[in-house]
Amino acid sequence: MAEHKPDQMEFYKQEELQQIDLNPPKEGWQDQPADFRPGSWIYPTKPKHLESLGMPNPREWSPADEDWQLPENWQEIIHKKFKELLGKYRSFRIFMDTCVRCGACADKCHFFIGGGDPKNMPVLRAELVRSIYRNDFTTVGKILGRACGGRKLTMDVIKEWFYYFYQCTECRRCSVFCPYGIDTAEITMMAREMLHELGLGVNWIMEPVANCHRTGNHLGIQPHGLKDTLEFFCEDIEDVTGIHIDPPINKKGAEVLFVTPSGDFLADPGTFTCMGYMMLFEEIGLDYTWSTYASEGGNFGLFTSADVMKKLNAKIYAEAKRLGVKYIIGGECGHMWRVLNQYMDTMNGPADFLDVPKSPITGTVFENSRSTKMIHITEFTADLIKHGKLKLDPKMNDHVRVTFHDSCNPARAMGLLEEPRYIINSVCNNFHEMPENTIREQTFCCGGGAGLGTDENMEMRLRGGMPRGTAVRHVQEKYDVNQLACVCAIDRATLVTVCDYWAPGVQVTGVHELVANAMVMKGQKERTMNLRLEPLPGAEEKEANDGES
Amino acid sequence: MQVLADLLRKNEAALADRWLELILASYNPDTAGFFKQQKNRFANPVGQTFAEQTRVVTERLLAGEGIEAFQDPLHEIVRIRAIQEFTAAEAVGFVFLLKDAVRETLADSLRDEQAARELQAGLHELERRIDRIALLTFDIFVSCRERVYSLRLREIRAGYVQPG
Repeated sequence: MAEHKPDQMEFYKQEELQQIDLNPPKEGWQDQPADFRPGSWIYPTKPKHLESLGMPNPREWSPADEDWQLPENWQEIIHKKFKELLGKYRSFRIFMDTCVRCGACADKCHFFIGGGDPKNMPVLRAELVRSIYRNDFTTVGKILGRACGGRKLTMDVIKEWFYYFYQCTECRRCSVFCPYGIDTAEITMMAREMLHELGLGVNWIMEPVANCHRTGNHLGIQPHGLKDTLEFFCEDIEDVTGIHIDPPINKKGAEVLFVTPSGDFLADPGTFTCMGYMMLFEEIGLDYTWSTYASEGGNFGLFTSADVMKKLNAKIYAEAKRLGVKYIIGGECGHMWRVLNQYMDTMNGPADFLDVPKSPITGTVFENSRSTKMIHITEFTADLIKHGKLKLDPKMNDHVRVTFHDSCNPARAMGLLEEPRYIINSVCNNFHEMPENTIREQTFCCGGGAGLGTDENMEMRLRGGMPRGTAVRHVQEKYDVNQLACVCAIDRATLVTVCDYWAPGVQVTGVHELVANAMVMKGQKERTMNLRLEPLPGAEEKEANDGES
Repeated sequence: MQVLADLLRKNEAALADRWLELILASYNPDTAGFFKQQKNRFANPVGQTFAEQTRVVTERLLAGEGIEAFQDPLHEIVRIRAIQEFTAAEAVGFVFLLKDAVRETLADSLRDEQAARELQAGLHELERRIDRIALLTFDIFVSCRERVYSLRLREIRAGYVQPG
């Protein structure tokens, strides 16, 4: 038979073309080991950070290696930790037992939606752990094994855990849809805690944890460095407003301790948000202080273990006590607020040495914080605006058309939905919501939360950020939106990249940057620049005209 | 040529659907089912983008439009596949599946020898155009990858590697 070329009709056998099987050979998910692809995993922890924290099995290794250099008795270690966690957290045992595989969560994870890997369906990701639970910790599983969904703990399982539990941002969107309320983020937290027993963690989390442990913040900024940074911001503020600010630092007896994520000190656009806080406090004459000890609101311990989280969090109350403040205000951050709102009180409270937060300007008592004694800055600012205590000129923001990204933790972990919107609507004339199934409780993660916001997993982050990016692009096309506001430091870093890939032309901003740009401060000079030191529309022409006349 | 064009245009929707099905077969069957069935574009941006843009490409191909008309719809598809877990060949190879979809759509007509002869020249020309589109797709893929690398580099330079 003659050979035919692809562009000849005879090359194609009609009967074969009719019988294309679209389904690859079916093989159980249990038998498919994780395929470690570059762009989908994060560099492991450097040994020095584990050593400084006294955590187990520090060594040089790579997920791409065949041998992960685990201790000989690694199965015993995992089994012991698993048992300990099941005993410690009743919720964990319930989450292991309860799932009926209804599939409600399956298509709700941003990583599954954007990437399509079935093991990123929350139900299946949880099953990676649940299968071991069933096999080793339930009577029926010990007898029936695989027949009831159990499987043996092998090295491939550990590798799979590392691969997929670092493809979960603990955003809890899937939990919103679970009829049983299974918190998949907590399953991820348990899995990561077990992995740490073998020295399996990622550097992007553990370096900040080690820094925080040593110097009080993720970036390792020392007291004099923080002072310099804040003073540098004040120089820019003076350039923009003509108003000189002396930032109060470690001031004993101040009424309020202010704590924000250290990301706000480091990189744009978080720095502009930080300048916004400082201008607000200056304008209302708040008696507050920064702390060079409690210089980090964020807490990467949340992505490590309960013990580490507790330890890193403890400095906030300790510093509040040392300085003798009345209560605490926290800046715009995401996971920070899950820790503060849900765990701090029971971990390091009760804060009975503090008062229930009461605004000195409006007299409002924040009853919702009666227990933690700590309020979110958008609650504080929304209250100021509601009582007409700020002079605002929303026209100053007329060149921006804003949408709001609900950051996962403030939205789902503390129900902070209205305050940021109220503020934005008060300081901007052009606000447009993204589609309903992408905001509020159903908000989509930026793809970089829970310690995934680094660069070596960029493809993974862009897949995870796709649902958010698609919604941003929608309002960009429909309403010409050019700024995405958010209340999270990780968002302010990672959404810049997500927008540049999926909705180029949309900038990212913090809510208090918008506030500061619209706020008319007492004694300010005429504003010609925004906080980014960009000329305001019309300002350049006006300047030129003034020069001529 | 005209005969082929008429025949395909009559089956345009079926052709686009078949091409989409072949593309979705590059995903796990459960995933492919989700990409195909969930019609809300915000709940299923990948599936809906593929469905919309494969229709646009098919329509423009059958309308005989110039190569520049394919840039935008292909960019929408490739931008997604460039960051999914595919090799370069897998990411851009979906264009060639359009040839298969065309041949399948014409299967009945091609069984008739007389008709097959009449269609052959047109098919040859159409497949050459698809090859040209594949080259454009490769260019787009490379530009998307370059974008990923430049975004990564910018983050490193901006200091985002140290989280807040």
